[in-house]
Amino acid sequence: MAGQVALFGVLGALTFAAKVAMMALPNIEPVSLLIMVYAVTLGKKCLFPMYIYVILELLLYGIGIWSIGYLYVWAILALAAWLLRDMKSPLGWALVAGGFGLLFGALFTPVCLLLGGPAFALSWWLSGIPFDLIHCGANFALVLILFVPLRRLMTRLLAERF
Amino acid sequence: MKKNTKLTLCLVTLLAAVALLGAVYLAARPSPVTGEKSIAVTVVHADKSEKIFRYETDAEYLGSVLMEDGLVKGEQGAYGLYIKEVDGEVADFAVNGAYWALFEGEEYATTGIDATVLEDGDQFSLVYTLG
Repeated sequence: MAGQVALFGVLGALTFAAKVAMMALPNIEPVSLLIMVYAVTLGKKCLFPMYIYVILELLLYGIGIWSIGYLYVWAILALAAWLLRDMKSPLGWALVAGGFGLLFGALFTPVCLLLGGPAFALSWWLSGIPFDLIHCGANFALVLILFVPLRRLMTRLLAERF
Repeated sequence: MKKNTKLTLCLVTLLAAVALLGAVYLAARPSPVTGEKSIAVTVVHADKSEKIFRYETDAEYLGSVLMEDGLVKGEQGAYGLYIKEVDGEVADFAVNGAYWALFEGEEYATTGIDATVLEDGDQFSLVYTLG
């Protein structure tokens, strides 16, 4: 039990550190990849490292449109990955991550709707489309290359240690 | 349906969605307006004091007007110009979570200062904000 708690803390912190390390690159992030790996290897327990990461985001960047959206967008990705957990194809996983990147801005529109109304939400989504396109391409490439080996590594480490 | 056919279909769908979103963005983004414009920028400092700056300009984007005038100083980042200083006051997020928020009229701006297109009569606010 204590080992698992420590593991979740380390994974949450690792996710945050990886995100910060890649922050200079617009919408090119390792979080989608890691959340998907956690979802298929930890199941519902992936919520622990995921929300540790979200709490770290809130602590560092405060409360805003992004951080409020983070409360649910990563859970949507984790749920999608968990539902598709039997899929083996790297291309299939890349498509999931690419689709998530493409929809990323749209997933924040409920927060924008509540905070600023329909015009603000539409404007927010439209102005972010170039970043969503980058996010889609970067997620697709990262997951295509890294998802399968990371999943294998994580599965082996979890089997050895827990 | 074979697994490969399904994946190919999904890939084609994703590429079509990428093309569609790109087209939507190109069609919907505000086009720069040529000619002279009058704009006003209200700066709200940390102590809540306000100063209004008025400009007559041919520039197409807000960032170029304010940078040229020296009202705004900042750093070019991955998402465009990040405002560090306005009217001599620095907002340092690393120190106290402070940043300069840009408003177009009453609305929080959805573009960065250097991507904000100018139209005649536009009113902007730069507000010192604690995150």
